Amino acid sequence: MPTFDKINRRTHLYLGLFLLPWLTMYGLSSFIVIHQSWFGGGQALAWEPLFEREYHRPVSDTEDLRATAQEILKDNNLQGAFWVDKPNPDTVHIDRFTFRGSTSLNYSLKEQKLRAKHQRMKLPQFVMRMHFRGGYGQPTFWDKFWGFLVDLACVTIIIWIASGLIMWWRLPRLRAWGAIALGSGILSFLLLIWTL
Amino acid sequence: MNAPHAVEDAALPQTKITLSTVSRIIRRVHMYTGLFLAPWMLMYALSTLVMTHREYILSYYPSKNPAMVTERELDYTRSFPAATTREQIGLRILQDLGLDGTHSVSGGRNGKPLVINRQHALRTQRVTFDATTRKILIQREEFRAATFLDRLHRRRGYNQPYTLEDTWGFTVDVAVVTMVFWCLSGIWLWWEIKPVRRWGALALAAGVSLFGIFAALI
Repeated sequence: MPTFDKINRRTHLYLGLFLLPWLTMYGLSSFIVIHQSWFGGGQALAWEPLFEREYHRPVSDTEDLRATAQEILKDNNLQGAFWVDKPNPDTVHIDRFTFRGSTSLNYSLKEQKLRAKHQRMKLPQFVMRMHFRGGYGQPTFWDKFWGFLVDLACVTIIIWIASGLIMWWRLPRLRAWGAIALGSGILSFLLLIWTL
Repeated sequence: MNAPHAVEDAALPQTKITLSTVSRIIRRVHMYTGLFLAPWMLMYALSTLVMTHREYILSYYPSKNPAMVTERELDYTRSFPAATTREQIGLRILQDLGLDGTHSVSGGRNGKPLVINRQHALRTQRVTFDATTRKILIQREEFRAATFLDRLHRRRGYNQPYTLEDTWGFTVDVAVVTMVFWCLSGIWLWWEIKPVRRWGALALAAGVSLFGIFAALI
């Protein structure tokens, strides 16, 4: 029968190994987000025209815009995560996005034309997109699964903190220095948020 | 009394002693940085949950945004040359009120009042200056944990000329670099424990494969 200590240690270890890619991604992407100018943040990425074709789909003001956009994407074999808006009464704009790029579709109701262009992400933007992606609220199973794993990562961070504290406390020789590290971390954090 | 131990140590190759020392250092650094940065990690975990479940969290509050409560209203007689920008006016007002610090400025054009948001970490203070009445209204946002966490997550530091703001930015840098260190040192620490190598490899492979599928699919 494994002891609580062993279960605690193994949980900390195996969750760490499984979620290692996510933690690495959040670490790297956070650094890129904070120092965007170091990674070419100000440079606009090029759009490549994809297609321009006749397209006929009535769009009513009462209809759910996301449902309409989903149908447009399905008609053009572009299903997946997207945002939609109507920048003016004549135009439906859809941003179909992945980690690797964005496809922008503009459907002109007046002209009955659909125009699409694509933008490819460079590595820094690719990593940043992973950081910002929530997942829930998007149509596919894999989007929702990503959202679940983000939740799992958050809960796991809390588990790592708790299990890490337990592991530290079980090492009597390290309690003093550990208490100093923990105490100074908490004090620094509180002092900063009180004075900022 | 020490002779047997001295004999044992002498029998160990130098590389093994060095590796053992390196391993111990890695373990200690992994642990002490974890203890020190625990508050930051807790904040990022909770704030991410707030952001990814925003609608659900908001359902617990009576309004979408926290209410603004009036602290005080006062006369403000300082005048500014015509060429003064609204950013300069905002900064001067904050300094006169003893509230200098990270802030943003809006309004102040076409006769509209100048609005200065003093971005405290705990809750925002709003300073509204009406140039026609020469009055300043100071309001404080009611504290809301969800808003506090959301804003602290997004706070990057470095983007305003204040030492405290840069200090915050530096702590965030330390936290994110340490996250990468925890991953790398975690692999080292795992590999040292032979009985868990197989299951650990499975866990690692599963995570890496799944992550790769996501990167390719969505």
